[in-house]
Amino acid sequence: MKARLAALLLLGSSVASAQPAPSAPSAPSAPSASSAQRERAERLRERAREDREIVYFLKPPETHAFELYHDVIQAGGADRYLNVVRAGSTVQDPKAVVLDTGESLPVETLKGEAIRKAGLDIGEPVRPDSEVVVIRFPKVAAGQTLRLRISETYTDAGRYKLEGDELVFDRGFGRTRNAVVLPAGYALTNCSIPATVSETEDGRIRLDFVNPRPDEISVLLTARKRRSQK
Amino acid sequence: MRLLWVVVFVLSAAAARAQDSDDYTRYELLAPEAAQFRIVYEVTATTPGALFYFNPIRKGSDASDEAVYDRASGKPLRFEVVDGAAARAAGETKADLDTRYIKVELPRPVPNGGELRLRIDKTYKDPKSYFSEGERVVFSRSLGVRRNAVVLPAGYELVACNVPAQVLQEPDGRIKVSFMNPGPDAATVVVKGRKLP
Repeated sequence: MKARLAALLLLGSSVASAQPAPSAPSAPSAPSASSAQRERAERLRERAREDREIVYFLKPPETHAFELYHDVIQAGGADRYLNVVRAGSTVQDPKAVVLDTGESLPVETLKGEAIRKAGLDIGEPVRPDSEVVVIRFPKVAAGQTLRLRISETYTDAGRYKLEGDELVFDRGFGRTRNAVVLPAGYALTNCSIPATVSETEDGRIRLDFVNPRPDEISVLLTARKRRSQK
Repeated sequence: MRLLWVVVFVLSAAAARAQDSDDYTRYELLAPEAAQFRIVYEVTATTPGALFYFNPIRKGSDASDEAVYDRASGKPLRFEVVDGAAARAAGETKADLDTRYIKVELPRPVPNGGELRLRIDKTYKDPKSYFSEGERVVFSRSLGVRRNAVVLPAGYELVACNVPAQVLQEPDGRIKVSFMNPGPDAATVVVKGRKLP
């Protein structure tokens, strides 16, 4: 349990299995005190040292789909990575690569009852529409780490859509480093959270968000298709 | 006797350098051929008893179309452009002798423990800070003020901004980037726009 909690602290909405963590100092047995300790540890984690980052590549908004990749580091003892799909989103075509070696890893997507049958702890109650991407790898030896890149395509009609002729992307980001690349042919019109803005080599607009605070940023951005000025 | 103390207080405060706070600058990029941008600078004078406020005109920039307003009343204020020596003589003791200043006549002395909020409106021509690169416009300037916004010319989209900024569309369709600089140094800001087809 302690190991899972440690993984949750490290990975946010994702869950990694790991060998038992070193014994913690003797803790009060009352659940409330334990909960308070977890909350305190969560709030006091070193944000700048977190290595999780994510890049979203928005597809045409009428598809409600966006490709993304995110990178995570797995510590000694981990032998799988569970990527829990956010409620309201569906996932397609997940892939995983070990960035240290370039090796591809097998992935499987489990839903609802299949998650329960597999005995996976996804860190939250399993619902019929729960979805998790499971990436397995040989157990990371003590003192070693593994850097993974997970690539997926998400569809989320609630958070990514076309309103009139305006692209709307509305999503919370928990990581320190997040980026969004607009679809080709779109000009940025609004962004609620401060971002640096740049152009990709193929002319798409990219926004980079750095959040040094241990909280989530709620990013609302809009864009319009470039067309001739009247 | 009380009147004498008031006079002494006002005169000594007026001689001191005016302190300010709360400043915010809005840069509106004008047609790029002219290399001009409008600056709307909001600042609060906080030196008790101060009768003037001095706003430096940055070296290398040609200023025009100046106007100053009292933000409390909305009324315009009298001002004149003076050189550094005149600014020093009028109480801006640390004025740079090679710099020109907008010397604003405050409508009343800054109250003790209070403040006087100003809006200074001016247009700068500065081709080193605002220029074209092909179909793009570039605004590149070191900004010492902590809160700033840069508004692109009408018909331009944002393609680059090197400091974290909100992006907001103005009611007239222009794109604004708005940012705060919490660090100790001036921000070297580069904003690029591209003309929409």
